[in-house]
Amino acid sequence: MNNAMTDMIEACRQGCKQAQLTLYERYANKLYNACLRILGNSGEAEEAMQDVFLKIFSRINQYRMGHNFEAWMQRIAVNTAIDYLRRRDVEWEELPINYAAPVDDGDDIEADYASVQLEVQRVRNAVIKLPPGYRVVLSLYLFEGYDMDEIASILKIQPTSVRTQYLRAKRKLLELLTNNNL
Amino acid sequence: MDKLKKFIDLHRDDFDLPLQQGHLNRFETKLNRWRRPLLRRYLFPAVATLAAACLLTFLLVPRSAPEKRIVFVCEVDEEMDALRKYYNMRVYDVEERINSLYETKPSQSLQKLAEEAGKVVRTVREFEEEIFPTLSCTDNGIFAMKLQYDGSLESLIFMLEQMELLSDME
Repeated sequence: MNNAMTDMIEACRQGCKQAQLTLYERYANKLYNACLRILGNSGEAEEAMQDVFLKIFSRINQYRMGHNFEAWMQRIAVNTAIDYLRRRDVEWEELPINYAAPVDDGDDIEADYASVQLEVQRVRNAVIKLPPGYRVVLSLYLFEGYDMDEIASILKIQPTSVRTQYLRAKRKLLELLTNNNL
Repeated sequence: MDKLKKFIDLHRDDFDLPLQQGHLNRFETKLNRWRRPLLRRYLFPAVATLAAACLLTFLLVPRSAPEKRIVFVCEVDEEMDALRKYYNMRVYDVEERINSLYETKPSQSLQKLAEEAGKVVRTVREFEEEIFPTLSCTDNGIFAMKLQYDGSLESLIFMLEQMELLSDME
């Protein structure tokens, strides 16, 4: 982390409004998109993202210098967006503990994806159209860079459930991508 | 290799969409509301209560005979005592809720509010011990005690609401 960033965090700690606005301007877009991918709605995503910044300023004393500040902010954004989603009564499917996922399921999907031409806009539109539960798992893994265990911890479900939901989400996404209405 | 993941990793930045126009102004408005110092939100009622208590002390304590406790025997005596019990119960109830909220989420901001609430409760106790027994046993006395208790209760309830808000935010 460079000195300018350290100074900005320190100024935010001291409640400097200009520093708070500068931090917002620098990271608003990144956190907005993280919220948007989870919520799938631009108005709600902006509201959630702005709440995220107020939480960041409230909790900035809990941030430990030297740790990854962006990852810390991103985690707050993801949790806030998921809280927004929970208000809509979205539940994550929890599989039984002894559930055995089909071993070749992932390979089958890969084979199907091989024949699909991927384009940014089509993939973005298809992700937005996924059911919320699938969209969250897929976004956290593909866009936010969390691994299956981390996603399980964020959503408070079993890692096997996360993997299964990810595969189902990918299959649903494939269906949407092969649909011409995107 | 996960073809979808590989594709997204390659075009990661292209997936981001721009924010809606005016977002910075909307955030600045939110930020200004949020930045209103906590003290301004909860200290004013506490200070107002303390000032009211001081004023009451000044106006109602009989300065010519300060050592003598007034034993009021009059028809509003029972009403005053019933009112005192009623307000005591309400103050105790709010104090309990404040303490239990702070115990559930002991953050720095909640601690400050709980401490300020403690000061208001102490003012109520001082009023009961020092001023209440000297109040004249009349309608004016009842008016004065209601003024004192209502002010304190209003401050305590306000602080409780602020604590609930902060607690939800945290």
